[in-house]
Amino acid sequence: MAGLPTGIRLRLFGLSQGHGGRIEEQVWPHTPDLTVGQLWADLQRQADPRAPLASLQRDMVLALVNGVPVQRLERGWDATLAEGDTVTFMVKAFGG
Amino acid sequence: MLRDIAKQRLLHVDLSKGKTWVEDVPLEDLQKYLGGRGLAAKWLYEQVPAGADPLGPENVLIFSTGTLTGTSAPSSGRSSITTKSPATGLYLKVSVGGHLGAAIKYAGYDYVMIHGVSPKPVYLWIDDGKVELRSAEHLWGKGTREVDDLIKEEVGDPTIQTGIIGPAAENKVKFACFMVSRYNSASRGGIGAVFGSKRLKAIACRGTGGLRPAKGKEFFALARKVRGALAADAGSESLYNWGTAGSIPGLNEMGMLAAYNFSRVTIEHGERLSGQYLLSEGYLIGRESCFACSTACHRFVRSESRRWGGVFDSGPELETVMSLGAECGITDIEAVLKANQLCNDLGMDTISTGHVISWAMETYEKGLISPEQADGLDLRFGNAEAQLALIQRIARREGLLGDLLAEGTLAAAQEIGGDSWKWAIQAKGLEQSAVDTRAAKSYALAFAVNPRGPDHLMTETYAEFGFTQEARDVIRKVTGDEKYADPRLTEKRAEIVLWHEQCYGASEALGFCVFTSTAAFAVNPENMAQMFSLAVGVPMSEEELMLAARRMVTIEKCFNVREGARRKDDRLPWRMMNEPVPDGPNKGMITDQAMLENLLDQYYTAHGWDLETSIPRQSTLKYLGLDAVCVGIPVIP
Ligand code: SF4
Repeated sequence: MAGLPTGIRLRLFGLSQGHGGRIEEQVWPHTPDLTVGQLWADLQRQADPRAPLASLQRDMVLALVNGVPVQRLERGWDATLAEGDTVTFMVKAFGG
Repeated sequence: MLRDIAKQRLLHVDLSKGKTWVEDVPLEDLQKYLGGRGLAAKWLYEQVPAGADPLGPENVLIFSTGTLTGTSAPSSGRSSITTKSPATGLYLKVSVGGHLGAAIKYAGYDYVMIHGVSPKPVYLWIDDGKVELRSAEHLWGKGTREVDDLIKEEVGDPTIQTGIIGPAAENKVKFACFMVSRYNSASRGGIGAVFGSKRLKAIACRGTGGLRPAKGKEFFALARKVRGALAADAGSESLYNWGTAGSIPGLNEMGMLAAYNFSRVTIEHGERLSGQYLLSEGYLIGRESCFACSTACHRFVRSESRRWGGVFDSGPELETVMSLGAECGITDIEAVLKANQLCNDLGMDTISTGHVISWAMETYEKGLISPEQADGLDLRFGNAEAQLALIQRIARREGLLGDLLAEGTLAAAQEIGGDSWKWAIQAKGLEQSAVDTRAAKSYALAFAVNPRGPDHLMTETYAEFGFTQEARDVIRKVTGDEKYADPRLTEKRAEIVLWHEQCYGASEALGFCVFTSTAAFAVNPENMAQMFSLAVGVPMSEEELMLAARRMVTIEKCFNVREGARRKDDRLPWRMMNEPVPDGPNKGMITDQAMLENLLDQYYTAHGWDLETSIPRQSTLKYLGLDAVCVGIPVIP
């Protein structure tokens, strides 16, 4: 599939300054043994310090790998990501 | 004047005779049933004979404040309304917030039971100890907001509290609601239609008294402590920030967002229906709380849409944006805000309204509703203009389709015929809440056994997702192991459902908001029992509290049994049981007949109900002290 970007499809919701209600998409380079937890830590390190992303505690994050909540994966935040995975991060919300 | 919390009073209003009287509630009944929803369930069983017409004079409406409503216990300002549902012909309880419950409490009453049918439209005016039925002929036909203004003008006090029906209820639309304190909807099962059938347009109340807990100092100290815990709870913070609609983006990403009449589980740009979007795009202009709640999950929104006109309203809640939005294929938030406002003013439940319209859209697209039957509306998914027109027509029963849909999805599907019943997302005659139960097994079980039909507002088992440590702690406490915090599992679902239905029952009997006890977990059975005990002045352990809640769930079940409901009626909508999740991470998942039967076996066994019929056994009724209450049902030893 030449021409298509490879890597991790990253979807962030409500984590950047000024993007509270919109989904931001980007492609994140895949590296061997990259885990969900490392990806989150890398993102936080690079974040604008004013953005919610920079200061959010991990237990307040809804992290999904291909739509599956991370706590349901066998290795949780230590689950290894594969090329082509979609990873979503957003602040947990409650109630309905 | 201060009144002891333990000395509860029931105000009877007979609309047929124009009479009112007051009855004292025995303390032992308060202790046994916890008050609120619990006592109302018992009274409904005693007052409404089997087979009574829900829209006839034999049905009663019981407005019950929670036992702690009117106190400073956090989120305890909620009330219940109990009746026989015109949508299902079965038990119906709706819970509602706002400030009317506290006002009724301060006026000197804990419950108001409405009997009979008034010969002419009236409203009930409770002015502290003075109770009056006033003519509402000049209010009949008017929307809920205008009537709120007019009543306040009439009594000369803008601070009074009201509960009001709109034109939909007057027209006995089967999903008409009752709007409390202007912006809070007591929504499901056609509660408003029962008010309409009784020609009771509104309840208005001014209460200037107060309440005295038995052990005031200890009670206030505990209430303060729980309020602190609630303020620190992550669930509370999220509800404050985004309201219930904050859950939309997560549901959409997890493939659990009901869309296009449940034929899909995600919708493109679903985040535009979210609480986060309303905040970031400037629609949110304020927040509001029910009485004694610091969470303030209610919100006010304003939109100045050129296309749909201006909107100033409360909400919209999660279920509203799913039902009027995603279910109908609409992600234009301004159109959804308009639809929400129309429903609130005309007095219709947004969940059922969204569902009857999404059912009509699918039926139209499949050619079973012709353009002539649609009265000229282009009913394809996504057409917000047609949706807005249809809302008006349903409320006023205008045209062929408006009148048909006003009867609810089940009746409409029976009339239209073909396979349209298969995509009527209802069971027991109630439209299902917009939660996809195929990939969440406790939800599936809770929806199937819900005495009022398949929805989340009797038992929402949110903890099974295990999103927080508090949620996982609940699951460990109930099942013995955190690993059961996984909605795809079928094991231990009965334990999870039973704990939640009892937690709901206790919360609603005492007046607590279930968001604070089952989405946030700061209010819990242990501190509820302590607060009850300190307020009423009688001993109450956590176990006794949960047993009393089980008692109320059993009476509610017996009410339905006496109406003829059996195991076969504890069902999910056909689509939920026969069409697997079409895509996304839960693709292929389903709660089919065999799985549901297994879940039902677990549940009835845990309850001590007969497996074949689902009828509570006499031994169970005896154990719960209900053998003299739940009479007139088949006796199974
Ligand atoms: S959490 Fe929301 S619905 Fe519940 S009592 Fe508080 S304001 Fe009302």
